[in-house]
Amino acid sequence: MTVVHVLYGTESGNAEMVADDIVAAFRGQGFETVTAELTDVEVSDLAAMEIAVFVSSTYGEGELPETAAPFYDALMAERPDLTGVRFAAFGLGDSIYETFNNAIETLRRALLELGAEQIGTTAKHDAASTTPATELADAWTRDLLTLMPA
Amino acid sequence: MSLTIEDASAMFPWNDEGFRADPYPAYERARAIAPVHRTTENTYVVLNHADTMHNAKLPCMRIAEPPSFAAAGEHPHPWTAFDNTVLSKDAPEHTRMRRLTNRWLTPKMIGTWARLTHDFTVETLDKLAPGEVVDAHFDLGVMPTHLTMCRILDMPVGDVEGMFWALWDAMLINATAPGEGIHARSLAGMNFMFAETERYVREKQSAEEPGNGLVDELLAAHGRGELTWREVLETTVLLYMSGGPNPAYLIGAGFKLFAERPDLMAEFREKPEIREAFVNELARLNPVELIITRFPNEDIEIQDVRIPAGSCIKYPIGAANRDPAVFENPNNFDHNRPPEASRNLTFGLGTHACAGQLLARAETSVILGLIAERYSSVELAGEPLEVRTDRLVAFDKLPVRLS
Repeated sequence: MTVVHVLYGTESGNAEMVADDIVAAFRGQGFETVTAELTDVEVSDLAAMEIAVFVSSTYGEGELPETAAPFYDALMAERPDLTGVRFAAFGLGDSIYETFNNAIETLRRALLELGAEQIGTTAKHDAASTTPATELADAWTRDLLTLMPA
Repeated sequence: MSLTIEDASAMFPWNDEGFRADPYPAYERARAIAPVHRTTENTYVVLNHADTMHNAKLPCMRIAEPPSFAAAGEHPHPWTAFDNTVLSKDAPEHTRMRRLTNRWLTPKMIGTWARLTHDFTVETLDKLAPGEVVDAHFDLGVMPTHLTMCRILDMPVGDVEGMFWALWDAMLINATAPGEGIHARSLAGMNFMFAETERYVREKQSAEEPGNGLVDELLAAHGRGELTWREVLETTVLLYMSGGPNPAYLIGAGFKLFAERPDLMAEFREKPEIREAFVNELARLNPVELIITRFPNEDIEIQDVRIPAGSCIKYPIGAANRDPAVFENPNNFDHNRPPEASRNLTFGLGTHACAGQLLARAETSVILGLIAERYSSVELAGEPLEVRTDRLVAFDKLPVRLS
């Protein structure tokens, strides 16, 4: 069974909730899912992952959240070859700020630069909208599933 | 329509008892004239929901009061005691301080804390004799939520009533026009809160074994040289003093609503799926802090009114929360409002949104849920007593009989 790694970086716990929502939407679709906070993920493990779903909020002035920053720094320092890794990206932000969803973009660009291939579109939840993040996570994951048959 | 400063100012009698008790008609009248009013040389009041929700969280809207607003001869302002916390800091320092508490208040952690609130409330309810009058404000609002905060922090229960009224006194200075003697009273309240809290934090610091709470984490960071003593103390006071009083007003408002509207109490009992929206609507109509103030650090324009950098902008929460352009029948309780007509300002917004709002919402839901499930009715056993300034409201007494 294909293993989907749902990897999140969070400040206030919302990205963690979205990661849970994504895992819930994968349930019963023929995939095994593993959830981990980015602080618990070694960059060297990434190359062996077939499919990784990255979830990250944006914090402060467009920065990566506290639990994603060390992972990103390590990724940039070690620069592993990620050819063959497929990933999806879900960001959380607030469109009032110029740095709206900066963090997921930063991660996404890094992954592409290292040879990983993105599946589907980048979800960008907007706290200024009235759509709950859970709802977007569910709809986005369903779209994602159509692009990755089990 | 443009008014003189005097005419605009007269529409907001911040110190008038009648206005304080029910500012909503005044907000409505003022909003019908214009959405933005200039009430002093450098103060503006913004009344509509759309502008408030957009502008109040712009990065240029600083929370720190420029020195030009400090009242002459009354230094230091009592709230400078919190200069090293999220209350007074803007990014990037704000980010650093906010990170100290984020991990403790995630949506997942809230579930754990709300179970504690549940257990503390059950303990109190189990002790009530049938027909006994209980103060829903203090015994069922302040106490269970304060006890929950004590567990989060790993702090002793302390002088709960003393801290409650010390906080009230300290807050008085934040009224738009605090009267004579308020500065001293506010300072005394602030000093009491700091002395009480510091005593307990020092005890924890000298304990042989560290505790397992948020304060212990702050103390450990202090030990590593990552936080100053003031940062540890001020953040601890902020959480220790606000864990009970702030949610208590929302909880008390819920008791009042249950007493006035048994149909809503029954719905709350029978439909757990509506509880989140129900508590949100309760929050919309019953903000505990009544005005948000911000100081733009660049010139901005709201609804064609040019507001220079360094001005004070007041966003009355009750005005945005009851803007008829967004909320149909804005003074009515209606938990079935669509999502686009339920966003309100009660817990603030943007980076300075209340760090404990998920906790307060969960605690309110748990306590009101217990009441609705264990009892068939809430009856007011006396007139609810409130204390108010134009900036803040709290219950003093809310005697109820549960049956």
